[in-house]
Amino acid sequence: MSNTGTKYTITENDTSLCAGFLFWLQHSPDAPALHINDTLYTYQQLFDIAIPVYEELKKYPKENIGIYCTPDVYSYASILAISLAGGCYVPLNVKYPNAKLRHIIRDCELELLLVHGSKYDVPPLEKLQVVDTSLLKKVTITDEAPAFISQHYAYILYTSGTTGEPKGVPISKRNVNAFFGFFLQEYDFNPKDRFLQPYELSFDVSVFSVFCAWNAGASVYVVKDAPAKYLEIFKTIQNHGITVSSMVPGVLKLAAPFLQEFHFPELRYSFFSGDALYQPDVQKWKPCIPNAQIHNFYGPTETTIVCTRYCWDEQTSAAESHSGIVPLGKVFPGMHFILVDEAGSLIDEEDIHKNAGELCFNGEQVIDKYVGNRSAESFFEHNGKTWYKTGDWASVNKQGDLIFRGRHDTQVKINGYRVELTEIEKNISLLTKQECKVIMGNPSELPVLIAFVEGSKYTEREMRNELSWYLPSYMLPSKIIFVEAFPKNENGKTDMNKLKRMLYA
Amino acid sequence: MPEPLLQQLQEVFRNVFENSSLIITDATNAADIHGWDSLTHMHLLHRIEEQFRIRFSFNEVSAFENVGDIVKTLQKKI
Repeated sequence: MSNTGTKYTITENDTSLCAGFLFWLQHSPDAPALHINDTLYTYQQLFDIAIPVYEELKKYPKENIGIYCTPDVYSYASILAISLAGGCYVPLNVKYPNAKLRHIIRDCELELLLVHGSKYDVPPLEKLQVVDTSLLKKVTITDEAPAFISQHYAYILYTSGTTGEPKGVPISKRNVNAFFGFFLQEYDFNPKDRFLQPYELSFDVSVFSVFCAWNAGASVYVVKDAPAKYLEIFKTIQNHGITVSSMVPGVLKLAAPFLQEFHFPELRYSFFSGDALYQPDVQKWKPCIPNAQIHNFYGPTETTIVCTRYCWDEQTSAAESHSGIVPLGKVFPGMHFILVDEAGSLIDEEDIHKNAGELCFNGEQVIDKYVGNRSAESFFEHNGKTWYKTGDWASVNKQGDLIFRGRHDTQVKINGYRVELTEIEKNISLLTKQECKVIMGNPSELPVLIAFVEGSKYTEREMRNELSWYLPSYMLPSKIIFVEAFPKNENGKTDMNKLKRMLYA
Repeated sequence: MPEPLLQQLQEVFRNVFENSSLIITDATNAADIHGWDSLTHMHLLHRIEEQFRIRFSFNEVSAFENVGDIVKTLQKKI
């Protein structure tokens, strides 16, 4: 069956993330939808796996439903089933330590968790009911509607928090509809496209890779989980003729020794987000993808995946890059930005080209609040609208593109993951009862976390093992330096410059 | 007499993973060594290339499943 001319468009009535999937299920049930672990599932086959889960969910009228995300088809089917039922999914990464999972479960008052098979290690919590989807029998879909109380949110993701505990970012269906509305409007994605899915399901860009593909009737190719995942990413692009790729910029640095060997003529779009994109890396990548457009996206999780775009131009982009970093570009329709200076005053329109300020957003993609109303100080009222403070500093160039100018706090990006250095410091200090400082080393190359710990009874390896009970692996410092007593400046505060010099001692 | 390849490789591994008591065999893979991730993998390949004065291709490294595979490729190249 040919799908020429068939196109899904988001309407006001679409209250579910999976409306696009259902559209294509009707039009072309035998088209490929998901390739994972060497198996290709059609829209119909994937839907058939989701149906028993969907039917089971009708017994549990819960709004937020956790998924213990294993890298297999069942996690994807569970997301589909929850979306179909109008619920909100909360991905629990199997690689997260138990303490973090327990925090997430408690924080968003999760009462139902979907797992697949017996190999799960879920922290026992009184209220939490666990449904093993591998035990569900095949059933046919019934007309009975699920009884969810609220259908407001699509998913909740957890990001690093300054208080030492991760905070929940609830994304509403209005937020995601605005996000996908932009992509359906702006891009010519079609059922022949093959989308790369290199992200864990607890990372918000996975929502783009999966649902953007399904909104277009295209297929998703999930990159195999491996210790050297960057190699698997390029293997997947090469072996499956990927046409739309999305990745974090650091992948280009890891693969630098091989870029000259790559030739991916089938790639049509190469998207980047999650971290600063460096212009020299793009220039080395461009010859590998002769037929692709390169787009750089930016946006914190709180603005629904990404909310600005910059299209790389061979002729002009090198000159437009600032300190080697590719511009963040312009905001999506329906989104607005302002820049606020250190004193909290709005930077006037005529000064935004000269002065950098904290980037703040308002619009359809911005969340209302965090779970439990945490970090309420991240939001403020201005001109009768609510604005979200990103913590990122930016200015605007002559072309009207936002330019990244760094951060004024302790949040860093490690391989696309947002990491609050204070969250690591607090966890180390809880163990050692001593002061600790964590910095990011090598920021413009491949960043690593370095911890300075004041006089401790632990060895480096013991401390890393101990921390792995509380922090996910991407938050574990690559290097831990023990210092008998931290050097102090004249104000009695830790002298960070002296501390950093110890790195090279 | 030159050191056997595996032993020379072991020295590189000990260096990269900062573990002076690390023992590797042909069957050793990423799951056996704590801290083997994308970044250490990249460093490891780079150090092996330096040590043996060779260059791996993408197709060679993407076929590595364990230390034995690295040894076999090295034997062909040196």
